[in-house]
Amino acid sequence: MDKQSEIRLTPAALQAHNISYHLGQRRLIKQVSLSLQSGEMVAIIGPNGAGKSTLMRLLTGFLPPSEGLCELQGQPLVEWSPRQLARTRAVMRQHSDLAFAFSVREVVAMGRSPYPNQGREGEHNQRAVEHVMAQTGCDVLADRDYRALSGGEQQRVQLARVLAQLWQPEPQPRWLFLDEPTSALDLYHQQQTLRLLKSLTRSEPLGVCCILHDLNLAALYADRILLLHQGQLVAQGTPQEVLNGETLTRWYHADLGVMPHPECGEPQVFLRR
Amino acid sequence: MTLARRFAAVLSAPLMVVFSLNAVAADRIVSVGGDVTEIVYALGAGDRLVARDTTSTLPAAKNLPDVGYMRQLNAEGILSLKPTMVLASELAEPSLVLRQIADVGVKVVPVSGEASLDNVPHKIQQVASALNLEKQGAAVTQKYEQQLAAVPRTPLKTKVLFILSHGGMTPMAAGQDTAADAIIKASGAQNAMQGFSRYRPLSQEGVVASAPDLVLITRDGFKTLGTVDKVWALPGMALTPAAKNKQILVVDDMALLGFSLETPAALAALREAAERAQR
Amino acid sequence: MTKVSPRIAFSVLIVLLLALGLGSANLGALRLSFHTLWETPLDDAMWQVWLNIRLPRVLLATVVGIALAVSGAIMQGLFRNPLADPTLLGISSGASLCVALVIVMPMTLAPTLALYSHMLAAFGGSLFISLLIYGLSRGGHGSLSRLLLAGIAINALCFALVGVLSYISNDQQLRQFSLWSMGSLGQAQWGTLLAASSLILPASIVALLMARRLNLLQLGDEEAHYLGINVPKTKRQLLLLSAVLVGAAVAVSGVIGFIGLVIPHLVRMRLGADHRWLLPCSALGGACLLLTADTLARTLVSPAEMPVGMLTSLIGGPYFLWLILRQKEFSVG
Repeated sequence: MDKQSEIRLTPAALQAHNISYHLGQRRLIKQVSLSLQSGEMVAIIGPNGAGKSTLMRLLTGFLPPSEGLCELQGQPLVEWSPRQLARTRAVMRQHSDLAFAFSVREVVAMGRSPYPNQGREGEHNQRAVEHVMAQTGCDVLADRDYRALSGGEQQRVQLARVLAQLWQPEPQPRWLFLDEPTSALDLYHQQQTLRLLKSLTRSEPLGVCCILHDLNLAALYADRILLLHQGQLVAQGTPQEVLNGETLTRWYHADLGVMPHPECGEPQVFLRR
Repeated sequence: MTLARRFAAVLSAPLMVVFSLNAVAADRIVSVGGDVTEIVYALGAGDRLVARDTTSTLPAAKNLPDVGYMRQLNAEGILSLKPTMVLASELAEPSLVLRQIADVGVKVVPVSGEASLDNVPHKIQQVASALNLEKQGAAVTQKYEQQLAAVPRTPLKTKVLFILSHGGMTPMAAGQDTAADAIIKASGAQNAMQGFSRYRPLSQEGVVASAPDLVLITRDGFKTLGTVDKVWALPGMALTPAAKNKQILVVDDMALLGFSLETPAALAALREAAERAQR
Repeated sequence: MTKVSPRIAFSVLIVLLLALGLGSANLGALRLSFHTLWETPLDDAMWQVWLNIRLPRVLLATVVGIALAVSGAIMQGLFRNPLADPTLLGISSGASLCVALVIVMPMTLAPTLALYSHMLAAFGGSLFISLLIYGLSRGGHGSLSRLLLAGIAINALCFALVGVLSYISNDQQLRQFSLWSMGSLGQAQWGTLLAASSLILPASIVALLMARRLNLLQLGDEEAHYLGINVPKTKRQLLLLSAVLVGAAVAVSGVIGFIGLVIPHLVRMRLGADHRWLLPCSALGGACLLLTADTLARTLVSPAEMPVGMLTSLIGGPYFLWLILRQKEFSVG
């Protein structure tokens, strides 16, 4: 069931007001409105070609909307200075290739580039790098050549980098966007990563928005789910509200069923054979 | 004066300082340009040379140090020979280098580079006056002009084809606006190749159509081909009158194309061959 | 391949450069050692030669070496490819074409212009192509593949036109052009040195200041954007810097190959890819290589001299090959 989105007028939010995106004749995003609070974890799901990545690019300011407005903390995205924006929101994409041999530590440290590097700030940068590498389990990889790592290890390093980008000595509202952050990870690391992200949204004013393919992971960890289909936001709400058989079948066309998770009760999707 | 002041004085002062030698009073001359070197030797001043350039292929100059290709000189190299004078063809490059040498106080004498038979006396005169050998210069000039005048210039019907051949390059025929064309015309004969200027690769049809009576080629060019048969084996050559009558003339490079002192002799040889080949 | 600490490498390179510089200034066709200079009075012609011919040449070798190496490092970073080099976008081809034109076409110039005709032609050619490339980079969202294709086309076109000019040239012109295209520092003098340095040194310094941004570009265009970098503008600026460096170098010294490709590569192999060290160490490395090559070029066949570009390849090629073969793990760059 579609719900009308409510635009809450709190400053600690990233808000999209009726944004659309056209590329030539094609309308990739059609009048999407949503709000991302800092301190909540939101998952964007949807079938292939729904426009999830495009939507993320609009929300993060990489693409300007053809219509509508994106605001971060009350200020339109286009008015933010690139440096301030970089300190407030970070984006992790699915694949990141490097042509040259950087060490893991060097890659993570690149995340601190929006911050000055003298004196006390320099110390903060170092602390940030050490902290996030420990958080993501990259400390053991610190001096290895990034290109020699497995896909999963590289994803963890990228996660460390974006976390380093947002780390601050006094926590402030920040937003982290992730495009399929778990696609190359094994089960253990999928769980670790999402647990980490969830805990960060609880312990700090960090808002997380990730595109996830795996509906069950979305259900387990996200506070809210946004279902995108052909550029339109067709469902929004808690996992319970969005992940039901009727909605999913309608938009995914797959033959599936939904049942509650045996331990926490969140809806878990299974495919029929 | 402080060191800095002295440096400044050195850099800004007009550079009219004679290059200090190791107490040698004799002339030390560097000659740049094959034709210039040849004139120096003809004037009898070869013993005053201390170096020459790569294009000076005169056997007498072979043992002199080589300062490099005429079009790619370098200042320090020439200066290392401590010359009192540099005789340089106007075709020598880079001119900046010659200016640097002049700035140090060495006399640089430019010698005309124009490529024509009539310019050779002018070159002789320039070199002779620089070396204070005007009398010898006049003698050499007279000999040159006499040799040139002795070559009959009456028009001949002979068609001459000049072939330019270098290693690694397809052999080319000389059209108009080439030194070869000028020499052929000066001998009274005709250039078999008409209608284009500079050089063009030999083409079967072109060669057959031009029907040369005599093939002219330089010694170095002939070396790259190897034997006379290789010449006749070039595109279209086998069907020419020149091939049928085996009329080919090989002449020294410098003499034929360099408008040097040997050119009258080469011209005479060409005239003779052309008369022989006339149908 | 064991990595060396960048700080140590940098210090070693500085010392090496100074040593090579002093050595070069001491050697030459003309036997002018420091010992001799010390003995002779300052107004002597010996000082003239050293100050006006040898010293500018040593400094020019340093400056051109810096230009080529930094330009190569920028290109490799910009294109994220260790095989990129300064000639990729056709700037030196444009310069070559203009020089070939000046050599082959008969033209009468004012005497002062005639002295510098090759340099002015080369610089004009570089400038033209640079503007072309810059213009192309403004349209489109800083797409480098478009520029790459344009560079290929420019290189091919210039090569063909130079071929046409060679065809109609005489022997001497041909030889002169081929010598120019193998590079030479033989026309070094204070005027050209100062002109070249006034472009090369500021451009190199600006490049050093952009090292951090070059690092971030390695993560990807979008990633760099999210870190606060204006990606199209940064790329354009880097392109411009590379063009200025190559243009100035080619104008005063002809086409000296190999340094722009291999020095950054070598430095990256030993020091890592952080451009904050890669750029300055490449600059020093390029200067050292060119100084060595030029000293050899003007002393090995003295009083003649060899084209220095030939020597940079002869020295560098086998060494580089050896390094590649020695590498145990395959990691390019």
